[in-house]
Amino acid sequence: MEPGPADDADLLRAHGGGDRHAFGRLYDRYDRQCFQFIRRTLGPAHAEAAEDLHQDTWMSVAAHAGAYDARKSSFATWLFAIARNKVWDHFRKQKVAVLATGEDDAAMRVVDTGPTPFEWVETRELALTLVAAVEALPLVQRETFVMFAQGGLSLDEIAGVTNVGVETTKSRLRYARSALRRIMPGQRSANG
Amino acid sequence: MDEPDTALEPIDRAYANAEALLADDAARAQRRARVLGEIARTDAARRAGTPVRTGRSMMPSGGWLAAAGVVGLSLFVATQAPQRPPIATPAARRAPAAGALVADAASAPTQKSTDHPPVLPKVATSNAPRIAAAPLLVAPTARSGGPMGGPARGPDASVETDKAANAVTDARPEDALAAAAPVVAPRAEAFAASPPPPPRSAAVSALRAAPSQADRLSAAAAAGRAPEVEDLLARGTPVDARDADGDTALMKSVVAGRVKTAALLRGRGASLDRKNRAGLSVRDVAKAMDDPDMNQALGVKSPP
Repeated sequence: MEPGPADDADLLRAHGGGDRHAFGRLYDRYDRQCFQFIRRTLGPAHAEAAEDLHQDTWMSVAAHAGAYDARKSSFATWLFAIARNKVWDHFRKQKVAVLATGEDDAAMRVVDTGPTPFEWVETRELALTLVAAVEALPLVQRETFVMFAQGGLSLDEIAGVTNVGVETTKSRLRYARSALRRIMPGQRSANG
Repeated sequence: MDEPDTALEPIDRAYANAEALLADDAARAQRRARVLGEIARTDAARRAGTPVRTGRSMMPSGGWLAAAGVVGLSLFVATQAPQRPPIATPAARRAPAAGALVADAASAPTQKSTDHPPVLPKVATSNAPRIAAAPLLVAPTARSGGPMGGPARGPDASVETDKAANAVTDARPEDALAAAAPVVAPRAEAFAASPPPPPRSAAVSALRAAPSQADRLSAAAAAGRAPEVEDLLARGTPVDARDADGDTALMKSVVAGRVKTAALLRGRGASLDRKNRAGLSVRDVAKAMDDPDMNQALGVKSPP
């Protein structure tokens, strides 16, 4: 996420001070990442709730703008924490249980450093396949991967949002990457 | 040495590319209008000192069913009352029945969030990531904290919306009654003597006749697609038709900042004073947003 001319915290303060346009600017910076995070974390079975949860998230941001402390976290971290709470609260209310995942030690050793043609997803079909693979990841891996790859959060920030350690966050990201590489057609073995 | 996890890998970039390829700009614009509009309405209502109701982008179907069920039960109780031994005056028998049920529904305890996500015990650990398996299962009784830890309780953790209560208060009585009709069908004779409901006015019927067209008009207005707006109006879509959110196209164009589209709709006679479900008009929202260009397009004066 590239910061704009005005700092996120400044925009949030301006919104609190009555600036009509500040919130729109802030929204435009993060709405895409926020919505995709919510949508992918919900998965296909709960996709219909994404619009409402996205709206709830931004309503909460607007209502609690005064509670944001830029010294404690970036706005993106704060936003994703709120969005994540909305999603998990939705799962609770829907009585959805998250299936815990087996963590694969072999996956920990998989490191993909080289560029591949697959990096440039050019067809809609391939894009849909990759997104479906992301949505099929176990929840904690999925949210970690999306926050990192799409949301632009650092490992430290993701650890803060998900309330786990950085090492656990790293593990989840590695598992997610490894799984995606395996499931995507034509993807080479990174550790081969 | 660089940590392999801290930099984007090809698979990360591929996913970002995939999301960009699948992005739906029209849906995004519509979403923007809805979210910012709701925030503007809430802000305007707060400034005006009116009760703030959290609007929803869509009415959950369960909410309508719950509202319909409450009304249906109320009617059932009310129609059963005369057959019971008289223990109070008729007024005393009927009035509390409906009111009490609604009050109960509104004050019913909601499911409280816990600090831990519902997680099933770890099962069937294998050496291969279970990508093909669905990660979410419906488990009606699972409420316990789990080994994976809970979500961060961010600054919004205490904000909970009682959707059931909102559904009851948001439900339009006539719709709830219509939906409840099958529930009270066995007691239909009890309504035979009741006067028929007043017919809806022609204007109301016209506005409700084409909800999909109204939604399309609002979406086009929110996205600033003036030609589509003109086309829909030319095909007979009422300019003040309310969409599924209860907003007019002009309202959507204003909150989305679509000055030209708003001017177009105003030129076609769109009302500044038609109120939405929150009780706010375009004039109220424009006043709250205080955009000089928009105010000029709407023909309203900027606040001093």
